[in-house]
Parts: sequence; C-alpha cells; structure tokens
Amino acid sequence: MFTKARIPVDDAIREWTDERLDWLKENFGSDSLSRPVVEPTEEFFPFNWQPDAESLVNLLGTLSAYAGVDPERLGLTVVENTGAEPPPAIIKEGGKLILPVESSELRDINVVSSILIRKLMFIRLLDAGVDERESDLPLLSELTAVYLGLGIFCANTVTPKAPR
Amino acid sequence: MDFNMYGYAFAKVAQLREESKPAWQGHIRLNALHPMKQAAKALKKNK
Repeated sequence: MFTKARIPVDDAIREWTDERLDWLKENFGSDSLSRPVVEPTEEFFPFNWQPDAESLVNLLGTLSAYAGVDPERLGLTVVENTGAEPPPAIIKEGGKLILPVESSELRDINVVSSILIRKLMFIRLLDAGVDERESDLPLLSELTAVYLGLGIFCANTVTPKAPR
Repeated sequence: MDFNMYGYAFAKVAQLREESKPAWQGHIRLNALHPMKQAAKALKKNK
C-alpha cells in the first residue's frame, strides 16, 4: 500500500499535457522521438563555457541545431539587469529574431541554456502557427522542449519565478 | 511547469519513445525525477 503508483498531477493538468503532446506529435512529427535526448554533457556541448559573448554564440548555435531553428534567423543581445521588468522573450528587428539574455544569466550554462531553449521553442511554436496570445504558450514552450528532447535543462532550472 | 508537471511529461515522452528506463533520466534533478518514476509506474499499470 505504500508504493501505490499514481499520476503526480491533477486531472486538468494531465488532460492538458496529453492533449498538447498529441498536438505536438501531429504538428512536429515523431522523428524527434527517435533522436537522442540532449543531456548536459560534453558529448552534446563540445566546447568550454565561459560567461562571455563568444561562448554564448557557440551555445546558441548548438542549441538552435538541436531545436531545429535556423541560426541565420537569430541574433543575441546581452542586457544588464536593472531590477525592473525583464526584457521581452524575443525582439523582432530587421528580419532577425533577437534573443535578449540578462548578463546575470551567463553565470551558469544550465540557466542560460534553459532560457535560450524556451525562446527557441517559442519560435518553433510561432512557426507552427500558434498564436502568440495563446494563454498556455509559456507552458506549451516548456512541454515542447520535453517533446523535442531539450527538457532536462528547463526541468533542472525550475524556480518559483514565472518562466520567461 | 512545476516539477510534478515535468515528471509527468517526461514519463509520457519516455512512453512515446518506448523507453522504460531511459539513460537520460539520470540527468534530471530528483525533484522532477521522483514524479517521473511515479508517473511511469502509474502509466504502465494503466496501459
């Protein structure tokens, strides 16, 4: 009786997750299910991480390949923490999608990876025709990361803060 | 998503990938790994 298995989420969340996974399979196909899940190891990230611009560009190049987003569409900007509102998830500028990263987020490759992954998933969803005003878009971005094999970074950096 | 949601989602995706004990689960923090294992058991039982 002490080991009775039960689903660790309530019915509404279970139903939402099941429905959205069906949607992801239908819209993104099943190819990703046969590709390796990306792990935080040198095998998947064969470069030294330093909290600087060069490492950040390398990291985005690596993650965008895993996420299936053309890196030519992307740009990066590092913004200083002001303690005010966080920067937007993505800035559309001159035909490019600029991904803002706060300077304090560079201290930890896991943190910056999870932030970039959420932004890349957001782009994949917009490309698939999801309306950016959809109320479940932040959650769906994170579920998409799990579906496409990039969810470990997001799960390992869960904080009580709302996801960006 | 919170740790329980991640746990359930990982268990569902492992099921879709037809992996009963995936090696990649070793990289997941315990906060999400525990609900993942719990969900995997329940999904297997209810299959």
